[in-house]
Amino acid sequence: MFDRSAQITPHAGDASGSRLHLRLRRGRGPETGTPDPLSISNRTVGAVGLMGADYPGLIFDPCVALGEVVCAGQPVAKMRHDPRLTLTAPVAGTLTQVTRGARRRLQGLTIAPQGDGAISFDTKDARHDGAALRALLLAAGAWPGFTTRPFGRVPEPGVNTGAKSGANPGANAGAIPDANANAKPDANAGAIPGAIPGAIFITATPSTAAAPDPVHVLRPVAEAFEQGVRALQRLTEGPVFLCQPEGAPLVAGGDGVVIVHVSGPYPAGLAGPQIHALFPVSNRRSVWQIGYQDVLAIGHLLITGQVMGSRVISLSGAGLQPALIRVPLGASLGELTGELRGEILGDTAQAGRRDHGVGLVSGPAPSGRASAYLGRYDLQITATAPATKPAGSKRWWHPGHVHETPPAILPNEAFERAFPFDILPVPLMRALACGDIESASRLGCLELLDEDMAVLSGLCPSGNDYGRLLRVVLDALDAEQRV
Amino acid sequence: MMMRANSGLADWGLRNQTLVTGAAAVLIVVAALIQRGTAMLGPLALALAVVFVWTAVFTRLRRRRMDGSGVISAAIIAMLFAVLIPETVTPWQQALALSFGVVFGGLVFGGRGRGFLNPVVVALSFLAISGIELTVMDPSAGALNAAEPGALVPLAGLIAGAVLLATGLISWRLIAGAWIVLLPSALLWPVPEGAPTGISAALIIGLVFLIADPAASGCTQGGRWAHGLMAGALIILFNGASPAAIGLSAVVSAAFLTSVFAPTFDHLAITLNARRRAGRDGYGDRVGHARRDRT
Repeated sequence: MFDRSAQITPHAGDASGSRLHLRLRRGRGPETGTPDPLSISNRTVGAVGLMGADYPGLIFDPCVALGEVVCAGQPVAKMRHDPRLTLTAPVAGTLTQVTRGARRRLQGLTIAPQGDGAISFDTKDARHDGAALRALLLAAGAWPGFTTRPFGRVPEPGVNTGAKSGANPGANAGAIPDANANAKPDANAGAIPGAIPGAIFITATPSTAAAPDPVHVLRPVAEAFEQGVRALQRLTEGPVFLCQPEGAPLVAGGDGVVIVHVSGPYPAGLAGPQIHALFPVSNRRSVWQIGYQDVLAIGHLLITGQVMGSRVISLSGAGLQPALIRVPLGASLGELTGELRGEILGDTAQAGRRDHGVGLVSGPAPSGRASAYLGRYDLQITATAPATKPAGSKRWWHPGHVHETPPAILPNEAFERAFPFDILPVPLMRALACGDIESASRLGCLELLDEDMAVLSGLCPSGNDYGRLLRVVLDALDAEQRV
Repeated sequence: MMMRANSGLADWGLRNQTLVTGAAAVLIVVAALIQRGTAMLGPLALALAVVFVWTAVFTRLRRRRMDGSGVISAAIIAMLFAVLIPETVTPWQQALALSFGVVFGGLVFGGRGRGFLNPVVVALSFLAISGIELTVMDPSAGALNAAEPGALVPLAGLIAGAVLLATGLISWRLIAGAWIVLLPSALLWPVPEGAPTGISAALIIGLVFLIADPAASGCTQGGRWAHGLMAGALIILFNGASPAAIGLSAVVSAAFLTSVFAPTFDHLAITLNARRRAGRDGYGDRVGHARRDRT
């Protein structure tokens, strides 16, 4: 059968193929358009949290001690199996809490913002050299902005081939921050990047109607964004797709950058349907996706040498005045909405719940997660109305303990209408629900990430969270291919 | 942990769907009551009692909660069975057949949506293979089988079908597939002298509630087309006589066989989809080649 869910047309008068229009027909919800422009106000918070759970499949170890004062851009955690991959402090401040989870991995880390000390990175080489750029992004904590498809991981920094640290110590010296010895990326010299994506997708489309408008956010900082986009070209041999709303291009196309004007109902603004239509991934090739504000942060880093630790996010949902605010990465959600701060770090089920029964969700309502701190990739905070519990009263036929069984999947056509992929939704949902990894893989689950499944979870009467089920299957498939 | 924004509404969604289907079934029962009078009440009461007893037994054995959608689903089974069953079938045969259908067509699998057959189809097939005549060709008998005097029940079936199609609870592809086969054969087949004509209620209700039951039909778009086409072809084949008057036994046998074949059609659709995706070349590849050639 012929798939008509996506329509790709070249831009009128553009012969080079560097400007396209992508129309995604299937979906459920309002059109992916440009939300009302709101003025952006800066907000400060009393706590910033970095959560290990934001990076599935990676184990980080904290490299700073409790009570230590850190500068913005200073590494606070390193990946256990490859210490070149670092998480850096988005703001200067004092470490107030470090929690460790299973196998002593970093679970959460909070910083109380204080002062404005920042590390300056040397970006001279990184502006023209690909290897130096990688080293800089790794050292400055900008690397985790990328997410791979398939599997949804932070890409691997690259493989060291033979040349151990010291064999060629000067090669990437330019990327080493001179302000703090801790920040020196070890064993970086002579690295050959192992992971080269088939393409890079920049998502500059609002995921939901309540998300910040990328055009509005990027207008005052167009130069830094363009610098970031150009830098990404050096990380791939394939094209760099800039997916943005209809209207004027955010940067000039051509020279490897393809401008894609995306339109369609939710979830057309997510990277998943866009990648599926333009550059489908499989077990043979992968792409990296990155949000527009992470690209902006890379551009900012290259121009100023300092990390951009803030993001412009939107507030929306039950009882919240819609607003655009600029906050540090990992800002504490409770404070931003004028309520008490979440106490239990890392307790994702309860931390976002407030006394008033209103849940705070980091991310859009369909796919966000309850959290005390802003998620690494989230550009939205949504307040959700308290979930009504189903009546659990005892009835006369109850023999005491009652088994709660969710309703079954009833396969009506609504799933096909809402799912903008050439993937059969109901067979996939069934495969995920019973953990059938082989079938899920055959049905195309490698092209999907958690957030893409939110539209199906919202429709299915069974109450299954297909995003979480998909994550389990993807983790298993990832572990299999690593063996 | 991902959070469902409407986790509290998940059951409401199912109950809503079941309510609409239930309302459509009630419409047909009301039409049948008006048309056939109090003769309907006995079979209806019997069917409701049988279905609820078995549902309660299984709910208790499995220590489950008797929720709203489960009760309505059970009532739908009873109502459809009461409307479709000919009056010539004795009450004990009705009770036995419906018990078999409810238990082995649904409850042993875990309830609605977990089995692969419609319980009403199983119950009626049980009667059919026991040699009990389901298609009563004599219109004066008052049974709702061949062309029945009075168009009230077929009309109610058409309205119910339109509601279910409009709400997306049954697949228009499946219904269209069946009519693609049924309509031309009905027009081309010579109508024998004196045969009853008109759209039979058994065909309408069978198509809308039994053949197009989402829990017992294809779950892919290709599978739904194939399901509809096969159902239409089997109805013509089993009916034998003129398609102008389609009997209940033909509809039931067709529904049973197509339900059995539905997973096969879905499997074919999945294979075709997987093959297409494996050999696919994204638009971006053609754009990307220019750059790769250059570098």
